[in-house]
Amino acid sequence: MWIFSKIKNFVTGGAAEVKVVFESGETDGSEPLRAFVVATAKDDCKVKKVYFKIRGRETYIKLVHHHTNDGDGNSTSTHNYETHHEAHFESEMVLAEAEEINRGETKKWLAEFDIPDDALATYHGKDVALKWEVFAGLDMPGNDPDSDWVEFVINKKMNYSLKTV
Amino acid sequence: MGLLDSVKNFVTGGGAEVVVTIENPVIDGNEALKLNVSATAKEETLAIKKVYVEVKAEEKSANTKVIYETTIELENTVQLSAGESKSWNCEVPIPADMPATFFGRHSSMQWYINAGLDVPGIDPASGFQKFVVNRTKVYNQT
Repeated sequence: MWIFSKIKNFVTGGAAEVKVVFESGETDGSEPLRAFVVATAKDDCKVKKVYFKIRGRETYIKLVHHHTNDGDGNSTSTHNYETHHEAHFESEMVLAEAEEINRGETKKWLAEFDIPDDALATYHGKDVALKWEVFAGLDMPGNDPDSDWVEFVINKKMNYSLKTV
Repeated sequence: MGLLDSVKNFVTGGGAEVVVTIENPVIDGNEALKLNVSATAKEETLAIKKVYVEVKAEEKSANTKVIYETTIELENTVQLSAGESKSWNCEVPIPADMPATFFGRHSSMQWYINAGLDVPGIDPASGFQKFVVNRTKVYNQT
């Protein structure tokens, strides 16, 4: 039973539960973002490193054209609208290395990150978005336990001019 | 010639020249958009049902989605003789819950204004002009 649990956790990353707890999930960008990465072990964990990723990502609609040729040399063109993403900003930091967390134990690490001055403000539209997100993970053999991507918002005034738009 | 001009203006909206001048094309915070709309009738007398401005916000990437649009009437039942001009000043508030201008790499959310004269046929209009809304829109985490 124990060995099956080990294998399952190796495959699913289920050896620990990882959460990101923001000091405040909203910022105007003038102060560093502060968040705790909280990991609770469900099994004994030997962690090579605790990592923390930040990204600012634009979501948009792209018109994609597809061309197909059949065996008779006939070509067909179709197009469809697809949701695409592009990272404006990506960064990763290591919060701790060579950590051991015993089964049932909870550990936490502070992540502090300076928002770039030129960071775009968060935008939530209908088809378009600019989202800021973080991702925390434990680097372990097999699948890493992780928090998945968690959004924080940058609510600040941009300084666009008529020339920009 | 007069009849031909009337027909042409009916189809093209060329019966008057409409100009919208934005006093503050870059809005800072929650201030209202300050406008002057002027209209000059061309070859013939123009019976105008209403003078209006349209404000809209559009999100654009490969497609376009209207986020906000509204029409404001400045005056009803106006007559302009050939060559005569008239102008109107107005302030248009931008609702506080509407997004600020956004400009990404592949997408944008931009604000536009158009002034027009409601007449039979195609309305003479200024055409949509961009303006900028710089303010803090408060979003919550999703």
